[in-house]
Order: sequence, then C-alpha cells, then structure tokens
Amino acid sequence: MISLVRSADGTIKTFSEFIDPQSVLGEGESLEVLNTAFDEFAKKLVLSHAGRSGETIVVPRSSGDLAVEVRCPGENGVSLDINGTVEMLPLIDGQAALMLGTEEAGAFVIKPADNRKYCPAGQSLLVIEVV
Amino acid sequence: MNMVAKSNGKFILRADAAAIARNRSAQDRESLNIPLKDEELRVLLTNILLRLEKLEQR
Repeated sequence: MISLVRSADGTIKTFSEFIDPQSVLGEGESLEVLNTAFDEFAKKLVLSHAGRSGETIVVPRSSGDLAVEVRCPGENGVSLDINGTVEMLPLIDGQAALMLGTEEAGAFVIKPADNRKYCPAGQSLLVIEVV
Repeated sequence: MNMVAKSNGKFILRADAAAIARNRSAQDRESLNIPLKDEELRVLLTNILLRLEKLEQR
C-alpha cells in the first residue's frame, strides 16, 4: 500500500509507503492511496543507461551514441519528455531504447511526459550530462 | 536547458545560444590582456556594439 501526493493540477508530486497528510500536503494538494507495493510503483517506468538509473550520468563529448533503456512493464507505449520535446515510444514487451548523440555539450533531461500517471523522479528521471 | 533535435532516429543537443555567447564574451575579455592589431580591435568593438544593440532591444 502506498500513498501518492498529487499537486493541484493532478500531477504526481511524490509517493511513499508512509505519509502523514497533516505534515506533507500543501495548498491544493491531495492524497491518494493505492493498493500497490512501493517497489512496483517505483518501477512502473525505469529509464537507465548501461544499467544506471536514478542518477546523473556524465559522458564525454563526441563519445558516440548512447542508448537509454526504457522499461515500462505491461504497456504498449510511453511518452517521454526529452528537454521539453515529447516523443512517443512504442514498446515491445514493455521495453524500448532511445538513442542520444553526444556531438554537442549540454544536458539531456529525460522524464515521463504524463506526470499524472508517472512520478518524474527516482528511476523515472534520467539526466545525462555531455561534457 | 538545451533544446534537442531528432536526426536519423536519435536525439541530439542543440548548442545553447547563451553558453556560446558567454564563451565568446570570455574570449573577448581574454583578448584584452594581449596587444591587439587594428583588425582584432575592430572585431572586439563590433562584438561589444552588437551586445549593446541586443541589450537595447530588450
């Protein structure tokens, strides 16, 4: 059993196994209880590179193309937000790959486009810095 | 945050215009530490005037 905190616009702000509504809810926010295990919800959408997720990954510039593994169990597709550009990825067996180029320096910020369904944090958020 | 573009099935970062401008500005500052030829000075002054023009347009 987990609790979701939703912002006033319905997007998921955070989730936890134990939440005290008196102390965490801000103005307009609401609490939703789901009969789901924490780990299961946290892995609804996992973005990773070379087995690493939930952290900032630093790669050198011009080090070739990078593959970001996308895992979204039980889904046929998922929309991702890549630096503000939304890309719909079809999934095979709940998985897909996203290719990134390292020609230019900067940062890729990849997160779910639908923040009512997925929480843009933890393993559902991947930052790759090209330096 | 950099904008991205999709090309040949992969996403690539677009150069950050602000970062490029900052780099160019730093280079111009560095160039003030060495003797400059007329042409180099002309380029430097042009860069400064362009920046002023952009500021005035804001």
